Amino acid sequence: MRFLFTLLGILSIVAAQAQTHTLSGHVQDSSSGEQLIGATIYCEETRAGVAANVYGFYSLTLPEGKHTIVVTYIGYSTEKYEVELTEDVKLNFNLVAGTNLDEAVVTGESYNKIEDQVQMSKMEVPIEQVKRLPAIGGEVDLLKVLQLLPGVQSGGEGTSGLYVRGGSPDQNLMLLDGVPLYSVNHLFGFFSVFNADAVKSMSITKGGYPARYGGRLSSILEIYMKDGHMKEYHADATVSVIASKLTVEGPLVKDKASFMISGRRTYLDLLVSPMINAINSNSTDVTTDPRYFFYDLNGKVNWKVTDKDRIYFSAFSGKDDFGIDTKENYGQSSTSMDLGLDWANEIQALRWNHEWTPRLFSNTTFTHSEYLFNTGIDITDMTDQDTTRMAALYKSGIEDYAGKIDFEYAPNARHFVRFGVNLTHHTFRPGATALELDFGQENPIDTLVGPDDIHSNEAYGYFEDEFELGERIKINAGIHASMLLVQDTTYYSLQPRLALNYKMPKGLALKLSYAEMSQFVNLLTNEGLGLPTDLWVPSTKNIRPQQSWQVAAGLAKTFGDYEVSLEGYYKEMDGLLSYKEGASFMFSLDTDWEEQVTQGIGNSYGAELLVQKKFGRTTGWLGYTLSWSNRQFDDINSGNWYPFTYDRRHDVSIVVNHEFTDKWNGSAVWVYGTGRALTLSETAFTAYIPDNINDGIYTFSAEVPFDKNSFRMSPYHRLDLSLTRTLPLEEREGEKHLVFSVYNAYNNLNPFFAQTDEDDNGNPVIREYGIFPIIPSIAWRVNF
Amino acid sequence: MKKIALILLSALTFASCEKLTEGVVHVVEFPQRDPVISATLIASNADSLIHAYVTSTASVLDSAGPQVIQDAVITLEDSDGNVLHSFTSENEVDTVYVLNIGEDLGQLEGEVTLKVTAPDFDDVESTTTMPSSFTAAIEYTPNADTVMMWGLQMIQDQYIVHLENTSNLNESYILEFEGRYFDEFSGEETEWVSIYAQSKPDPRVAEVSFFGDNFWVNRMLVSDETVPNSSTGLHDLFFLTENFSGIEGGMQLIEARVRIHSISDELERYYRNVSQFMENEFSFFAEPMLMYSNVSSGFGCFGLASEQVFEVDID
Repeated sequence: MRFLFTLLGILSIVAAQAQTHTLSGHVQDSSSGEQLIGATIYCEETRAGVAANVYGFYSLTLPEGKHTIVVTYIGYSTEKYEVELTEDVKLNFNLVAGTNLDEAVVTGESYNKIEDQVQMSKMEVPIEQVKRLPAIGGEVDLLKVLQLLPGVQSGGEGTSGLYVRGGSPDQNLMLLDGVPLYSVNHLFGFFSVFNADAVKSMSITKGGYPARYGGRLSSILEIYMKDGHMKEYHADATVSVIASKLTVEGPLVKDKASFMISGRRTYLDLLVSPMINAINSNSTDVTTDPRYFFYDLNGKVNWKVTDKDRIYFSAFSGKDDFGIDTKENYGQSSTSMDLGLDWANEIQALRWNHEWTPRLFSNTTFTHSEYLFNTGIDITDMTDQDTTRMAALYKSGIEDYAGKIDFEYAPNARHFVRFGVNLTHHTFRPGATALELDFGQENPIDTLVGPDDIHSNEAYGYFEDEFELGERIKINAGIHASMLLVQDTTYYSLQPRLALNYKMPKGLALKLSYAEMSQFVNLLTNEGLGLPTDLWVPSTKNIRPQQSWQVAAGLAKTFGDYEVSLEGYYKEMDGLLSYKEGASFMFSLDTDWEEQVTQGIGNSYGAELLVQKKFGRTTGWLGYTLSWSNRQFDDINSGNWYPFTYDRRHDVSIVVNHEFTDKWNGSAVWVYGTGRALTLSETAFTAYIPDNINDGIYTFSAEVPFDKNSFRMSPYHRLDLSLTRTLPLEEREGEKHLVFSVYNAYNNLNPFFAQTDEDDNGNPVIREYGIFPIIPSIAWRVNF
Repeated sequence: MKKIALILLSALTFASCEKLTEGVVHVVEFPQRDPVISATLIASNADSLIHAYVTSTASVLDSAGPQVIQDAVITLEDSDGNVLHSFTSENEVDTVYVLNIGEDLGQLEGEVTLKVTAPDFDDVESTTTMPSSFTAAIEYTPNADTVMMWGLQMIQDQYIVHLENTSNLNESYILEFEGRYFDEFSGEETEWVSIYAQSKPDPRVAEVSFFGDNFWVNRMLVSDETVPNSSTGLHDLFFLTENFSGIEGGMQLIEARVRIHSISDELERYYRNVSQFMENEFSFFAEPMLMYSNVSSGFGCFGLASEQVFEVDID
């Protein structure tokens, strides 16, 4: 720490000697006071610029004198300011929204063209753009939009899981207002928990990680909630066939404090309930009550304490509840069976922003995150004589408490330093089964079988330095050091990070990056089931942490309105965790989950092409990924390498949005992907076990796969269309939108799962089954 | 234009409903794989009969299933290529090749290779080594423990087994508990039968169970892999077996013995794998699995064991 402050002192002295002053402040929406993440502040004379951080704060140090400052943000009017710097100046920029909405595509930086950015493999999608894209049942999903970006793949038809550059979903750090979310699925993965109406911005980094990021191998997804309108009360309501949403925001104290609260709930259970009641009323002997709903709530309070201090409190709560309650009545006896499955997420974050000096900004955060998964069955038999009951409830979960402090220091316009530390306490509940057996015996069995909770402490510190070497080279170099204390074992990891941008003639940029990452938490996923039975488990004294290194190289250039980037990458992973072949963890009475898992290695490599059109009435992008992803575990597939389940050779996405008139806007999305790898039992063979007593043998036959993931399901392709009509509200200021969507417009029923079967002639075939045909839908949205 | 779009949309929706009801998206032709040889030969130094089970694999949807290969030639060779033993169809008994070597197989030194050739099939082979001999001591305590099972009190006998690893390598053992009983109901003595055994919770011990059409076998697999100091790690292994003598009309144990096999690494993996596979046939939540094989075709197992049988003093 002393070293860091000494370094900062030296940098400050150097900066002061050059007679420079610092322009600092926030960039915000002139109407709502919402902080504009990534807005750019550019000095025309010095040709130096910076981007506002995730709290809208900027710091630009310039030579003494007059300067023309240009402030830009996608979807907002560009503002020019004349500033005379004779001392440090604090200046908040207020931008007016709505003048260039059709420019809102993929990235927030406008002066900062793709060839100027040292960061590679990072993509942003403006939320306004997300809301215009087609969606299943009209329910917009942020993660499904991310799946349209090169290098980011979906797990299967309709699901929200992200598979980034050959990684698995647990290798994505999903941060909502800086707090990790461990499960992002609603409705068995068909929707994510992120409510677009409550979200201000999202970005994903899939490689070339700066040192401030850590803890996962494959990607960092950052989603920030809206801060809340500082001046007026506003509401945004959406009604779709899947769910309804309501978002309300407004000032608690005008221009000082604001709030935002947003809720969403499905109403499938409410719609189906009358039908179920009608069916049950026809049968007095047997009644069946299925239930399913999900909800989520987002809330945030934002308080501008002083010019230099802000406090934010944000919270999220979401739950899915599925169950079937069956009752059978046979006069003298009755049986009831309740089968349930539910999972829930909760996070809270308290943040304090402080500007120590115009060049030094800090953010201190305390967070809590919890994920719980429960499933169980409860059977009760009642007769005149007695009652018997059997119940099994399986529970798992993870809970984190964390604190962190991050500093940003900008000694001059071409030099930016970040450093910070983080401490997290994890509590893992890796699956326990509560058994209750009451057969009328004297002492009914009521016991909890399963592993104990595991506690661990994780800490990291980082130092990141972004600077320019001459006119052509930009470098971001840093080090991320992390540590885990678990079960009297300590793991250390030192992860160097480097990104380089070399600007070649004619505006072509060559980018290189190298990053090592380490991960102390693991998600065990059952490949055979596909239910949200995922189990979070930590690294332990027996389970080493996951580690990776990734190297990437790319070219980037802007051609008029088109930005083109081509990246190649190679990634190696170690310590990957998987269930052993044949392992069965759910409801297992085996208390040692570590016996059921195995660790191995993996690699992935490929190339990604992204062509974006960012301006004009027609915008969109073309993404293409060519990739390979493989795994090797000593205890799986006889120790041989095999393709990862989500190894996908080709992945194409085309996204087009066109503004026909001020009232009509249309979007189209087409996707294509190589079929998923699949393991099918295809071979029958026989073998034996010795019968030593009788000097003979016991023979048996078995049906087994030939190799793991040796089959490919059919390729996936789909076209989605949407048309949005926007009209002003008649009775008050605001707009209403009518969104027509068609999911899977040419009705290609894509495969969701496959199984072996016979055709009409008795020949062996593999039948693939789909779940989503063409789905037209309509959604109505109003905001005022 | 609007009407046309509406009609198109309605037609597509109607067509999709029919498609969804059927559910089938694509029917993919099952890939053809040529049958290969599945060869299993598991033998111990005490065996005088050696069993080789040589069959062809079959598509899972082939109703005929795997077939015994009638004209295979099976050889066991030492590391210098010398043929130790050879089987042909002349040695076939029913569906299994059985070679009666007239004496115990004995301790085989060095690597031993199994080779199987048959017309119309690619040759297969597998190499393994026979584990070295070992020493063991067994303490037996009748009526050592009681346990409540489904409301009934069961009496259990206890065996404490001490195994001495005489090599510097990790070793694994299969333990089988066998007994002869006096059947109080029929008044006759039984043949030697397998006794169901359990271990006390111990990371060194795993139960492996095998289910078949007409067999169920339970064995204890002991491994020193998890023990830091293998030279002292396999002492004090506690096992419990059911004692039926207290039950009216029950079975009175009159003789007991423990059969211990020191097994090769391949055989250990095979036993664990087969046991897991059979257990998972009843588990909805189990991961898909491949069957372990050390045979070049990918099916079957060649494993060698070093066997000793320890008589137990039950008096």
